Amino acid sequence: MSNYLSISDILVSNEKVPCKFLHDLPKMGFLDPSAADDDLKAGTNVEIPLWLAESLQSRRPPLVSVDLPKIYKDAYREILNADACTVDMHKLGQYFYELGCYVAKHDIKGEVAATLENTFKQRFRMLLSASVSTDTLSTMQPLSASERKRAAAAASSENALSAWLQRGDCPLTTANMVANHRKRKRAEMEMF
Amino acid sequence: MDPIDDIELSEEEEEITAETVLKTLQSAWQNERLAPEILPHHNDMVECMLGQIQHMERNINKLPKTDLRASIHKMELSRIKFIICNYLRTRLNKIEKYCIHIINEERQRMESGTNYLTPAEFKYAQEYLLNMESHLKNVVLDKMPGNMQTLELNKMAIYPNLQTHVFLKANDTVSCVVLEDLVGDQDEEIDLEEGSQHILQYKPVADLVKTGKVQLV
Amino acid sequence: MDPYEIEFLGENRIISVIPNFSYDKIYLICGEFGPFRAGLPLNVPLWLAIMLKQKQKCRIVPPDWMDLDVLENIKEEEKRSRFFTKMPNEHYMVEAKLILGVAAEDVPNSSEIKTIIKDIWDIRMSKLRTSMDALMKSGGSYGRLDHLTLMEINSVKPLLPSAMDDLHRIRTTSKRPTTASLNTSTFSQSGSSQNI
Repeated sequence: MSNYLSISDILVSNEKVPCKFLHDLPKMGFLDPSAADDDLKAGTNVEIPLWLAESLQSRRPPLVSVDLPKIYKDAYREILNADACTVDMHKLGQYFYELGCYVAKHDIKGEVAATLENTFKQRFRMLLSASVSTDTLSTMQPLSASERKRAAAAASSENALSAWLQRGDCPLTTANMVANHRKRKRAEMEMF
Repeated sequence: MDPIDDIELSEEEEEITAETVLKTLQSAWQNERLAPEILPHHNDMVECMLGQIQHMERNINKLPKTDLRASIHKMELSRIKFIICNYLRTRLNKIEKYCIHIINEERQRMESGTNYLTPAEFKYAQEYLLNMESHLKNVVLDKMPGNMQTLELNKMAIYPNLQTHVFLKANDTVSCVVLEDLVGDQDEEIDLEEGSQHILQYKPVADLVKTGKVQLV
Repeated sequence: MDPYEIEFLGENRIISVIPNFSYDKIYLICGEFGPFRAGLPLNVPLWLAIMLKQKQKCRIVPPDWMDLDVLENIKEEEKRSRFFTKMPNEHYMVEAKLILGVAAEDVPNSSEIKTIIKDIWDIRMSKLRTSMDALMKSGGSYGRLDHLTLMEINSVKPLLPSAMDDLHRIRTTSKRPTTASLNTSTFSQSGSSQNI
């Protein structure tokens, strides 16, 4: 939950976004690691932190135009809309949703916003399976930072529940039921 | 053991039983645990129940230690004490977390006489805020340059998220609860039939929780 | 809430016991119970029944639904229905666990009953996961969940409500009108405003 002192919000605004500088900026060449010049030339493309990009863009006249990071661009949007569950967010976008909400403003067609929503809905089932999986390592791996947090919280309430079920004189799980479990799961999947 | 005297509430002429008070407290506890914001207090119910507990404890002491009835009464009292403690503690947690916001809102509510906090809770909130302020001043601000020493309390305020989703069960039938639709600009209306259960945003049902038409679950 | 807190709520349900002692009525804050007559059934709260049983002061009368035929029907119905069917009471799992825990010998066919109740629970839990996924896919802002018991509802917290919160936040913040150029506030400020 974000608030004034939210560390994760600060981390999100530190993520880099590609920007094109619209004016020559004297002495700012250090922003572009590949430039040999002291000055930054108009038209240079540089990746800078979101907080800086937003404040440079909101000047009148704007000093930069903000572009979308690649995970929000057409090519990735296509993959995400086809099957968002195949994407490893841990590698490609730790703060996929949070950063996405900021950069969606720069996408006038609203396609980024639609992709964010669609991706979230599709990937919800990954949270579901991560929360009940015994192989946490592989189910948690491809999740984004916030997804991991959700899945971990869900797993801990799952654990509290099974601890409750198994406590005391009458554990409500028996070996014989565990054996039947797999069969029953399959039967139910056909049902839906 | 004597039968429990029915409890009389002084402001209202109506008599209510200890059993009703307990049920009200239990549902207040559940609501307080599950609602994002602080709810109107039920101090009359808490006071009344504390009185009952005292009365009961005196009677238990008259019974022989090994008497089965004594242990039954003790067990019941422990259960009720748990509810009351947990209820009050939950409120204190919210008061600490949303301190600045709650004090601001409460000042307005006090003008209209619809306060949510008990006098003791309000005092606690104010003292908590003062302590936090002086702590931040002593530890950090006093050591800063003069122009950076102001504490902007309102910027630090944390607000309860009223848009959060909650589970509820309808105690009465309520028609036409409006769910905001952000996507299509077309608000949706739903009816909550008595006994039905739903998951939805807290904000449109906040008043229904406070009036007891729905129970958070 | 913790499962034990749900259990605590479920312990207020009234069930029937047969005491092996006699006493006058007992006047509790939650109501009056008794008189206790050895060998005659009477109604008490579940927590009291469990306590008496643990002290070997009573036998517990299994609730009507704790019966193989009844449960077999419930299980079949639950399997057949796409929706959640109505359970015998809203704390069936708590009741089953506590009664079968301390008074299995008072329940005929207790081990079969234990198995079948766990079967019903498993069917419902797996249905619950499927319907959560369906709820999120279909919009994720509202759902009706009749016949789910408290323990079942509690099991999907915080996952379902927090996912719905996230989805709502994504919708509201990503679709904010593009007046971004006027917005010079810092990120942490805009972060806090999401909370109001």
